[in-house]
Amino acid sequence: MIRFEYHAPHSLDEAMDLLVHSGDGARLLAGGTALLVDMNEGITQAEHLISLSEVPDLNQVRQNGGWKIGAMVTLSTIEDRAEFLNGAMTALVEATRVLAGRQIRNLGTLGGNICHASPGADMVPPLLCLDAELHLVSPDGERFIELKEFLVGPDQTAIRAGEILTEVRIPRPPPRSGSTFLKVMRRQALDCSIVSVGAMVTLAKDHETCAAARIAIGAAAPVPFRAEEAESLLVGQPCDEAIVQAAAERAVSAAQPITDVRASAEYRRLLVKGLVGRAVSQAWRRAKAQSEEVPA
Amino acid sequence: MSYVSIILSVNGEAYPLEIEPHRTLLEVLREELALTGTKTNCLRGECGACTVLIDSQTFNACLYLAVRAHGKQVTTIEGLSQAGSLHPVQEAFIREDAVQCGYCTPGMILSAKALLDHNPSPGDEEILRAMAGNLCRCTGYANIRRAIRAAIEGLERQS
Repeated sequence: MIRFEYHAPHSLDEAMDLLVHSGDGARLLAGGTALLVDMNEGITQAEHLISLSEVPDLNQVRQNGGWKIGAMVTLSTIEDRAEFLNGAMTALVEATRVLAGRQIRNLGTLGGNICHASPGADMVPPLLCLDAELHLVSPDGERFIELKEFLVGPDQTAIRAGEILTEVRIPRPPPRSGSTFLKVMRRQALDCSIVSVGAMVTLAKDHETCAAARIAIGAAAPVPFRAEEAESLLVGQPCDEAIVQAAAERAVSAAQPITDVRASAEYRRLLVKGLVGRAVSQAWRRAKAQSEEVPA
Repeated sequence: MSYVSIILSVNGEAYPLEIEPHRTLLEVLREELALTGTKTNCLRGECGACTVLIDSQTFNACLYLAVRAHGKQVTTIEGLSQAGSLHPVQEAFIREDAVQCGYCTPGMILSAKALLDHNPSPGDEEILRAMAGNLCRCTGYANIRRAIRAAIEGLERQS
C-alpha cells in the first residue's frame, strides 16, 4: 500500500485543525472500505490520513423526534437497530442488508457511504426518501445542507475544503407510512447496484389515499435522484395498478442511465420501470398494514 | 514515514509492535506474528478470506489498518480451539466435509462463529446474510451451509 502519515485526533477541533494544516494531501478516513482500496489501486493519493474513529460522538445515534445519526455510525449498527425496522425507516435497514457483506458493514460508515458519492451509493435513496439533511462543520462554523443538494456528480459532493460531515439528520418519520429498498445486482451480495430504488408512501387519515410519496433511484443517473414528477402522480390517489404503472413510466423519463461494465443503459431503463413499480406497490402495502395497526 | 507503537492483542496474547501506519492487520498478522491462518486473497474486501474477529465482530483484515486494532481484542482462526479441543463450528466443518481447497475455510468459520455468538438459533435468511461476505471459490456452499446448521443443532442439544 502507498505510504502515508496517520493521525487519529481525539476531538473535532483537532480533526479540523489537522485537515486545514495538512493541505491538499490530506484525506479524512472513516471506515476506509473505499478509500484504502482506491489508494491501494492508485486511484486516490493521500499523504496524510486523518482518522475520525477516535473523535467522540460521531458514532452516536440520537433520537430527537426524528433521528440524528453520527457520520461514523457503522452500517451494521443501522442494520441491527430493531426500532429502525419500522414505517418510513424500513428502507434504510433494507439497504444495509444488501450492501457488500457483514465484514464491510462492520467497518463502513453512513458518512463514508454518502461522502464517497458513488452514483449507486446504497444508503442514499432511503435517505432521500426520508428528507435527510447533513450537518457540516469547519473552522469557519457549521452549516446544514439537504442531502439532495449535497450530491453534485459522480464522486463529487458540495463539501468545502476543511469541512467535516458530522451528522445525518432525519426529520420525524411520518406516521401511516411504509417504505422499501430494492436493488438489482448480478449476485445477491458483495456487488454494486445495477439499479436501486427506495420508495416511501404515506397514507392520508382515510388509510387509502396517498398523502405523500417518495421515489429515489440509484445508479441510473450521475447522482441518486428523486423522481419528483412520478411522486406527484401518486399524491391524492388511491392505490391501484394503473397509477403505480404510470408513476413507474414517469420515473423512467427522469433517469439518465449509462452503459457500463454492469449493464446497458437500455436494460437500466427497464429496471427503473420494474423496480419503481414493485417498490411503490410494496411501500403502499406496508403503509396500509401499518396504518391499520395504529389507528389515526 | 514515521513508525507507530501499538500493542496488538491477538488470541489473548499481547504483542508490542513498531509498525508503519499503512500496514494492514492482515500483513501484520501474517508477516510479523506468523499467523498465516488468515488468508490473503482479493485485498479489497470482496472475498472474506482474511476475515478476523475484532471485539467479537467480523472484519476484513485486508482493509483494517493495524494501528486501528490497538487496544482491541483480535481473534484469528488459530485462537478458536480451547485447551486442545476444536470449536464446535470447526468440528462441524470437518464432519460435514465443508472443506474443499480450504482457502475460504478460516474466514467461513469465523463468520459462522460471530453469527452464533450473537444469535445461537439463527434462521436460514439470517445465516445467508451473515455468510454473504465470504466467497468459496470451489463453490462448496451446500456443505458449508449444512455444517453451520449442524453446529447450531449441536449447540441447541447442549443447552
